[in-house]
Amino acid sequence: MTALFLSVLNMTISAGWTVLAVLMLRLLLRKAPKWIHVSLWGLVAFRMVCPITFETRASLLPSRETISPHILSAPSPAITSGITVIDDAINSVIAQTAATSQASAAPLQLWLDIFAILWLSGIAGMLVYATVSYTRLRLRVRDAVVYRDGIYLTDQIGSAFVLGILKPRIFLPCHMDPKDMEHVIAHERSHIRRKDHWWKPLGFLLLSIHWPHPLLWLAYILFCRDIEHACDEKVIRKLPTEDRADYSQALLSCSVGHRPISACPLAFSETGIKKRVKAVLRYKKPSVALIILAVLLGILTSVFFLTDPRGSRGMGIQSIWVTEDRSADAVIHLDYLVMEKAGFHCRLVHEDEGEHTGSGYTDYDGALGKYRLFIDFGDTAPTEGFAKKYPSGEVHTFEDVPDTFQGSLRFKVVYPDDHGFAIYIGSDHPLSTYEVDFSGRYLAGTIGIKLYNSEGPNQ
Amino acid sequence: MDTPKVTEGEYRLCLILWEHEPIKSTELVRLCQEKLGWKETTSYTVIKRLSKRGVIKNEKTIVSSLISKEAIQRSQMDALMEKTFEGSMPAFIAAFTHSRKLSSREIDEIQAMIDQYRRDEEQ
Repeated sequence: MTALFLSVLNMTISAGWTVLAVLMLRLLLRKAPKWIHVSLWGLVAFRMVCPITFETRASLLPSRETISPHILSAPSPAITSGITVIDDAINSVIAQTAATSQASAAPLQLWLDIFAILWLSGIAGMLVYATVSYTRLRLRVRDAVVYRDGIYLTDQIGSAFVLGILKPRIFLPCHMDPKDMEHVIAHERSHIRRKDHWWKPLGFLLLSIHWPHPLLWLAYILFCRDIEHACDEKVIRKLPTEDRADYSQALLSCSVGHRPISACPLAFSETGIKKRVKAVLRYKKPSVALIILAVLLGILTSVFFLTDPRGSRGMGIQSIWVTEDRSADAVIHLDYLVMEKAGFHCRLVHEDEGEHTGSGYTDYDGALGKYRLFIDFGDTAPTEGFAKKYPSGEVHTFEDVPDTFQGSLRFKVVYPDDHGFAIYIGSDHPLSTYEVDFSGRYLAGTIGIKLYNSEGPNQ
Repeated sequence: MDTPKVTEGEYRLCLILWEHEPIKSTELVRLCQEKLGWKETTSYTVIKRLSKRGVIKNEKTIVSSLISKEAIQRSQMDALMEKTFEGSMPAFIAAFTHSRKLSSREIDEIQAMIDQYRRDEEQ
């Protein structure tokens, strides 16, 4: 369940970045027709629904996967949000939580379980709220009286709306000024034609699943507002300009006629009516050029934000740790025992970086492949047996690795003068291990390496 | 004694009743379907509600009214003054207006915008 929670959380985070992009686009495309703004929110919806997508170089997402669903099996669990400040802040909290114990996963597992349960409760809460309010509204308008085909009147409601997903019906408050009625009906009809009675509940469903991200709430609220504007525009397009005043009057009258609705969590203070009246009165048919520009920008944004950054999947090393008893795909036996404090630091080595020798640095000769990890054992001194087994600079291949890695995963041990020893592990496949710091008082005798193939990291 | 209040839907059923009473309940239900667009269950529910409140009576499937049309109409006028809609609009319903109360200053501002537009249009 934790893995599911984390997978969805990654989608939530990606969706959040997309919201930022859409917000900027909406600003740029202020003058564009509102149906375009509504469509842009579809991009966010895509990220909330699709866990995997194309990987391209063009992706602007900070990270393909902020939290690995298998974060708990890493020796130093960390997130990769793609933003250094966030990474550092959160990773230090994680490190502190995991600090003391050797079974470093336990407190983290507990926290993750708590978060997962909170998340599920949130979903349940929102769905229950939705079901209850929908049912109550249905009951409330049960004895509404038919006015015209698909349009009903009732005195139990304060403003007009569309209710029903399969058979959408328009409900109007019965004591409405007849002058306003036709405008309201036209507006509600355009909701139905635009299928808003599907999109709005769908959006709410997605929000229920991805509720933890505040930007997504903002997105839903703006989405709802944009829908109203889009319907206004749809009606206004067909009206002669002098009728716009009447339509605006209907907007105003219908807002004034009743008391405020309480306890609706999403009804916060916004000048909805004022903006809508303004927009209606100032409406001009948009130029074709603007629409084309908007569509182009939309496509660009899709490429930038609906695709994932490349390179983080594919074969390679998933994690490295000092193993006691975990299944590793490849092992290096260290055969030593250190009583004092010991540890290693592991980092990705840049392509151009040279290599330690006994007495300095040399240029890298490429023997270990394109990608390298550098595991630095600092002050730990190797035993004689170890040094004999792995003379300095000799390239070794791992045995017993999965077929796909046969021959492609290599390592060599070096003994820098001022250090204990260090190991370079190299591969032609990308290596996913981020910086790892392991420190402890006691090192068991084996370094375990977990690999993954093109299906992605697995357990 | 206070005349019981009736909702608009209940009132419309009463209108049909006053015109056709006394009437068999099944026939009343049929008329409600025809004129009001109500499902059978809705009609029966409303008949039950009204008889509980003493507005109509349903004896051995014959329905007749207990309160006169004039009395009801009088109490409707009073009720209209106090009518408020209590209850929240769920976020996923497509609604015509937002549910926030406008301040009287905002109302005037918006009205001014509309009036200005009308004046400009006339020119």
